[in-house]
This record gives sequence, structure tokens and C-alpha cells, in this order.
Amino acid sequence: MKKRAVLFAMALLTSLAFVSACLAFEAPVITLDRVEVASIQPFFVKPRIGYKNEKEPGKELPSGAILNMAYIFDIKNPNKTPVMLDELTFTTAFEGFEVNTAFSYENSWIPAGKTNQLKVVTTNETLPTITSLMVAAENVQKLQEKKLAAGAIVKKWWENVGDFSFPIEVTAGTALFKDEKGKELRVTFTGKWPKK
Amino acid sequence: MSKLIIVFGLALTLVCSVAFAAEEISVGSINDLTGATSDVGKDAALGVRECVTYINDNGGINGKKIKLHLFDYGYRVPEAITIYKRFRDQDKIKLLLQWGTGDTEALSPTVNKDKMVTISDSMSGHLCDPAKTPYNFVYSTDYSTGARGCLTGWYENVWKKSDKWKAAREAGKKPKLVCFYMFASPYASAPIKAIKDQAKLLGIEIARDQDVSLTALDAKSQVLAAKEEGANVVWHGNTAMSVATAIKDSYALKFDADNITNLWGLDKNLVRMAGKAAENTLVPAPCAFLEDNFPYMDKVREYCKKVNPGVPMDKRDIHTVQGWLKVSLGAAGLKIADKKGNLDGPTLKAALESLRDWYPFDTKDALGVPGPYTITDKDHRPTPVVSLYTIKDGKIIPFAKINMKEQFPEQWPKWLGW
Repeated sequence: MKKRAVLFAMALLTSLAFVSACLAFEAPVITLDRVEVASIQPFFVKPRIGYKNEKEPGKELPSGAILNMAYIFDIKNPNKTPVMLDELTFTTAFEGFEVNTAFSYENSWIPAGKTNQLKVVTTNETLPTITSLMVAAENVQKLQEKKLAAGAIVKKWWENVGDFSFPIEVTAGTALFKDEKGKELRVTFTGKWPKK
Repeated sequence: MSKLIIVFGLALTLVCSVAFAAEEISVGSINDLTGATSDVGKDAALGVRECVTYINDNGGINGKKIKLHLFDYGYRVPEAITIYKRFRDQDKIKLLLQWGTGDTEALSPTVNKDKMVTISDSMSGHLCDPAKTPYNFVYSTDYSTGARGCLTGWYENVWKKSDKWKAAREAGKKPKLVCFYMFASPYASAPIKAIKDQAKLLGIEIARDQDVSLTALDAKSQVLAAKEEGANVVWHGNTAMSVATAIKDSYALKFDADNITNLWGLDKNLVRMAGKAAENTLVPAPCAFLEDNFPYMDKVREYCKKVNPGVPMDKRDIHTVQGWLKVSLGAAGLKIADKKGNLDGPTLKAALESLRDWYPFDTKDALGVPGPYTITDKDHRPTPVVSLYTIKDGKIIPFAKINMKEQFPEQWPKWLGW
């Protein structure tokens, strides 16, 4: 009888510990570790094909140069159990102009007490970037205040991004984590690069 | 006792695993977050995600959670086509949410061949005739009905009643409409044929169209041309930044025509950019503005803060509510189809076509929709009601509601697909 009581108490304690581990879900911490230029094409907008002379100028293609940026985040799991990163999204801004919104939908488990790194690559293209600066009301206002032309500022970004001579920001970052029980927790984050 | 322990342990394991193994329904969303319409596109995309979170927090689709795959296409049609193929072949989506008129119309033959139900932010009237585009749906008053209603609302409430036009009316003058829009833009040109037809119906003369770019920072030559022709009302078919440019230039050049605009032309940005010049502008709104008080608007604001706390509320606009409306319509169809035990395209299409006098979340006036929705297999226009808003003292407020089916019963069936 005594043995049974001890067994029951042990089972109860184990269950309670398990349940409390399931319930206590501390927010993982996301910080921007660094930003890299993943790949870049020299600045151009609307390449012309089939050009012969001024009378036969060929035609413009509605495309521009590509700039791939890599954003590397540290994701720290302070919990005593693994947590899963379900999805992550953030907006990127060059000199205060929002230029992209990135997503990561791939599931990844972060072991208890450990820090993972996640690299998210975004693609910017000159033509839509210039167009968004010229159409989006907030961007137009900022350009007018700074007396800048959309094409000129985008050209400057393409030519100087390797030196990180202008501020790059990560804003409105949100990540959704799940624990082993499926309980969800939403975490927000921001970041700046260069850090100083 | 040992049996009891085993049973207890098994039950606990089961409880802990059930939540994680719950079935999911994949939904794909193509949005503009970096391209020409990203200023409004971002707000709409945030609304889509927030509404999906709300639905998942409140029982999902009959207990199944929505797995949202939301991607940016930068307002580039080829990118949208590539994303759709990924959604279809890899993510196995059951419902597609789309954005622009260009990509929605370009993808229309493909989604219809694939029998993929799609709901778009492009409310082009061309997408509302199920005889031509059976799998395309829109989530509010279509552009053509909105444009017709906006012109009718101006004609009846402003032209016929205001002191401003009293002398012209008494002199027997006919009012004159001019259209400002980017000719090459599928969105901007979509309702032009309809609004001109409505002008003829109302006895309104039509001036020469003016080509105004979506990126216009100067519209003086177009304004002067319209002024010379003596136009009394301007239809602005572009988006807020370009509309603000034209309205500011009209104000500066003392062109006193009234302004009416398509739904993407009037939001907080227009008020901010055009100021006084934007007063009295009319717009056919697809739903309530973010600060309005209708059922479920408190949830919209609550989930703005809950899901995207990093985005300040003063950056949020009506497009968030549009995102909710789009998702809530899709979710209503998914719930009906799921109850029938099949989420394939034909079942989901039939589910949406079974909606009668529907409101979002089955709650009257939820999200401030223009009126109750009835969608059939013969007509995908969700409502004939046009809900007009205007700007008074810098605030966007309701102006009038017009039921185009009741007011024009003979013409209403013929307008399908315009």
C-alpha cells in the first residue's frame, strides 16, 4: 500500500513538473547580429535591348538591377524545453525609407537554453524600389522634405551599400514561436546596422 | 494502481500532442510590400495576417487552423505568377488571396483552369461575371458599380442640391465629367467605361480624358485642360499620392470642379498630403475606416496592436479593414465547404455562391460593409450598395448610401462584367 502511495505521488509530481514546463513559456529573444550584402548587380534601370541607332532605339525592358541583402539574427531560447520558430517577418528600411518586407516560414526548433542563428535574404530591385519611392505617399513626402530624387537616392544605395555608409534598419519585426504543446507566443524585435 | 498511472500518462501525452498535430488549411496571399502600391499594400497585408490570427484564436475553420503563406510580389505580374505556382504545387493552398488588377486579371485564366478560388483586392468589374471568370471573387462593391454610384451620389446630392452649382443649374447647364487616370494602368482604367456610361445615363457631358501618371508630382497641364473644357466633376482613378497631386494643382489653379475618386484614392494620406484642397472629395468605401465604430472594429484595432505592435496605429488605415473583409469572406466559404467535407475548388466556389444576405462574422454591419452580400453562380458582385464617404474639416466621414440595383433595376443585370 505504502509502495503504491509513493508511486502515485511520484507520478503526480512528474506530471505536475511536466505540465508546469508546458505552461511556463518564456519569450525567446531576437537580436540583429549583422547585415550582409548577399549579392549585387551594378546599378541600372530599364536596360535597352536591340539598340542600333537613334532611329532604331530598340525597346526598354521593365526591369532593373538586383540587390540581395542578408539579415542574420540571433534567436535565444531561454526556456528549459525546446521551442519552434513558426514564422518570422520584418520590414527593412534604408535611411528611413521602407524598402522591403521579409518573411521566413520555415519551421526550426531551438534547443532549451541555446541560441540559433537565422539568415533571411531579401531581394531589392532598382525599378520597383524607385517606383515605390515615387508613388507611396509617405516616401514622396520624405523625398520632397529632403529635396532628393528617387532615382538618385536608389543609385547611391546601390553604389554604397557595401560600405554600409547609410543606416539600415529592421522594423516591425514579429516572430511566432510554439512550444512542444503547440502553445503560441508572439515576439517583437527591431535592429540597426551598422550598430554604431 | 500501476494501470491508473499508465492511463494517466497516456492521457497527458495525448493532450499535449493533440494541439500540435491539429489539421491546418493552407491559404496563399500575394501582396505588394515593396512595389508601386506598397504604401497601401503593406497595411492591407498586415490586416490579412491579423484577421487570420483572430480567426485561429477563435476556433479557426471548424477547429482547423489557417496556415497563411503571405508573399510579396513587388507589383510585378511575372512574380505573382511564380508565387501562385509555388502556392499551388508546394504549399497546396485551398484559397488564394490576391492584390492588384494587373496580376489578378493576368492570373485569371490560370486560376480558372486550375479551379482555384481567388479573392482579390482588385475589385475590377471584369472579374465579377462567373460565366467568364467562375473562380474569381471580389470582397466588396466592384470598381464599376462604385464609380457609377459615386457619380450618381455627386449628381443627386451635390449637383442638384448645392448652392455652388445653383446658378449653373438654373441656367440649364448640363454638368460635365472629366476622368483623370493613368491610361496604361489596368486598375485605373478598369471602371472608366462604366462611369462614362453612367454619365450618359444621368445626362452628364463628358470632357476629354486626362492621362495622369500614378507617380505624378505635377498635373497642372491636365488641370488646365479640364478647366478649359468647363468640367464640374473630376473622377480620379489613381492612388492617393497621384490624386493628391491633381487635387492640390486644381486648388492652386482655381479649378473649382468637385472631386470624386476610386477607393484607393482616398485615405489618411490624401488628407495629409492635400489638406484643405481635399475637402468634400467623395469616395466609394469598401468598408469602414479604421476609427469607425461598427461591430468587430474593436477586434480589428485590438489585433493591430496584438499581432503587429511594432507598427504605430497612426500608420494604419482603412486598408487594414479591407484585409479583414477579404479574409472573413474567404473564411466564410471555407467553413461551409469544410462542413461538406471537401475543400476543393468547386466546393469552395459553391460555398461562396451560397452566401445570402451575408455579413462578416455573421454579424449585421460588421466591418461597416456597404450592405449585406449575396453571391450566386450567376453574379459575383457581392453587393449593389455603394457606401460613399467624404472629407469634412480634415476628417473622413460617411456621406450617403446608394443601392444601385434598386435605383437602376433595368440596367443592373446588364452591368455585370463591366
